[in-house]
Amino acid sequence: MEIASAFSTSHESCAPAVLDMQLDADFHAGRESEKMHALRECLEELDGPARELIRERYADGASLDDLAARLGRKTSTVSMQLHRLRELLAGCIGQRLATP
Amino acid sequence: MTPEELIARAADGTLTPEEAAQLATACRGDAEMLRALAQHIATERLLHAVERDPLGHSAAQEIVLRLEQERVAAVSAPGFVPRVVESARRRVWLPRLALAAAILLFAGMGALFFKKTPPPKLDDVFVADGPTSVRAESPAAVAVLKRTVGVEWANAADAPATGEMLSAGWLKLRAGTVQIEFLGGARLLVEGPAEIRLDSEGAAFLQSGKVSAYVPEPARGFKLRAPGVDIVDLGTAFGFEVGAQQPAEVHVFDGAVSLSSTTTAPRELPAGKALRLDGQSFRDIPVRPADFPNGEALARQADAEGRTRAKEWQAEMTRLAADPATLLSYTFENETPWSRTVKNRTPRATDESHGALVGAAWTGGRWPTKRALEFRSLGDRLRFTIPERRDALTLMTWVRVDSLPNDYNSLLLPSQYVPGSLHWMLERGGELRLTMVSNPARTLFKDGWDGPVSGPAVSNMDFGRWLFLATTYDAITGTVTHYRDGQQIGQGKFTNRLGAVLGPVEFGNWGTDGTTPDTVWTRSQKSYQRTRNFVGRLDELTILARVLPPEEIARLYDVGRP
Repeated sequence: MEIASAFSTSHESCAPAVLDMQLDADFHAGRESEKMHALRECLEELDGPARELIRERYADGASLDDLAARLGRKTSTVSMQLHRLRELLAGCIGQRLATP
Repeated sequence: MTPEELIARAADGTLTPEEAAQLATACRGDAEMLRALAQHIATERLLHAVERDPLGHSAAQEIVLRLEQERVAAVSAPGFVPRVVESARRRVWLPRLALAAAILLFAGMGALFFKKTPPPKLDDVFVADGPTSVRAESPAAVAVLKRTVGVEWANAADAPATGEMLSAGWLKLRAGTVQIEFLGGARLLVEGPAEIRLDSEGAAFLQSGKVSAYVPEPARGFKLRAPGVDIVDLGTAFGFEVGAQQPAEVHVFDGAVSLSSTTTAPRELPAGKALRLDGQSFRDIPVRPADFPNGEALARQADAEGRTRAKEWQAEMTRLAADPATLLSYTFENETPWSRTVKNRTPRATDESHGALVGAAWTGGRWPTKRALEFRSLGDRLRFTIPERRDALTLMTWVRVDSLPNDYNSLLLPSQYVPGSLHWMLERGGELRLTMVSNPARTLFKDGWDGPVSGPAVSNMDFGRWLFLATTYDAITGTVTHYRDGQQIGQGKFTNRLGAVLGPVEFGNWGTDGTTPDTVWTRSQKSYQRTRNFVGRLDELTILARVLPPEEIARLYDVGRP
């Protein structure tokens, strides 16, 4: 997985351990599937450019550079936009899990 | 680079080794940053899983892979469980998610132009349990075969069962009496020998035989025809006899009928009158109610016949329970209405083989003297455990299927998976189906299963009547054989030829421990495959550790049919 491999370059990285623990804990508690379900619902609420950006990035697998070129923005700007969208969606997932 | 940018790049997967080291150092001393990082990575991961694959196939696959790596077993009570924290701030803006996203993107960006991308195609077909069938379109029912007494059908192979829905067509009786209830409300008692053709919900044609017709007010207008004679009911009870050798007779017991023949004008016949069609005209004759089948008497006879049959069945069940191969025998006799356990009647019954009832209520069974269990709600189930692996198995049940609301409707489903665990179900399309787990870690995929082997067991004409379903499995040859009412309806092979395992199972539901991959998967679905409750009645359940031959299954059907 690309995220994990990015971290594997770091010798004293705390992140892979955190990631693993979170994922295992999620799976163990059966929350993995709940979160996916919640995310699907959250994505349904999104439309327009935000939805398109996510689709291009995750469904089509476009690189940040591709996206930046197409949008005429800097790569770092696209990265931060995706960052904000993830934050938004994480909040939405949390909200949905909190109110079953 | 700000911590936020580091997290963004970490999630993007574009961190350089230097940045990764920087991030690692930063998050070690900062719990909030650690939490944010974990949240972003988890969200990134979910987005990949959901978006590449909106139905979640690859995510499901990942779950399976994780199971295969046995990492789940290694994880015990994690000390650090990052949580997505919902703050009051988020609660306020969450309902406006789309708006928030739009503002966020448009700020300083101007109009965006994105190419339209089609939704991703899914080549990898998810098969947790394989595709389900579509119920064959049966002809529409016009009536129900309500009761039979001493009946002998002209064509035994094609004989309808008591309680079965009848479509338009001929019924030919050599002997005995049947009660037919038309969907339009009219009730006919037909005494054999007789040949009658059901034409619609409110009409029939009597070629020969003797009938009593009871036509309540809502069914008024019921038409009964015979060669040369038409009777239109005007709300009544009447008898009608058509013989090969003698002329047709109509006897009105109550109300009135309108009578016409090909040669006479319609005339009304009141209660207490009878007519014989003599050649071209009707002639008055004395009314003889006693000559015609009587509903009350029929009910009494059916009752008596039922008691006799129930006794014969009881003797058979006692014999079967004593069979050394019998693992389970639920007959639902002598159970008190408040009892929440079901007794396994085999002499070798273990404690765990007595059934624990959840939800399901006691109700009437095949015979007036007999009890059954009614499964109606989502939670209704009967739990028990049959230990050990078996090289031969026969599963038999008397059920009344009232509907098949789910893709899969549980007969027996295991609570845990081991190689050899069985799924015994009815599909939405009415197929009786057996599958076997061959690799518990691969149950999301076809290669984790043996089967399905299925056969057409329930049509919409069978809803509401008692059915005898049986399935045998022989691990030596891998052969699975399905039966319905004593007749073979399907056969196939399990290639892995594993011994069959029941273990902790449920009749009528799917009470898994929630850790098997396909249950983890199905729980994430809105409805697909998750709900598997059986809707109907259970009147008998027998499990044997040997393969009963077809003739024995046919005989058991014959002894057990109501």
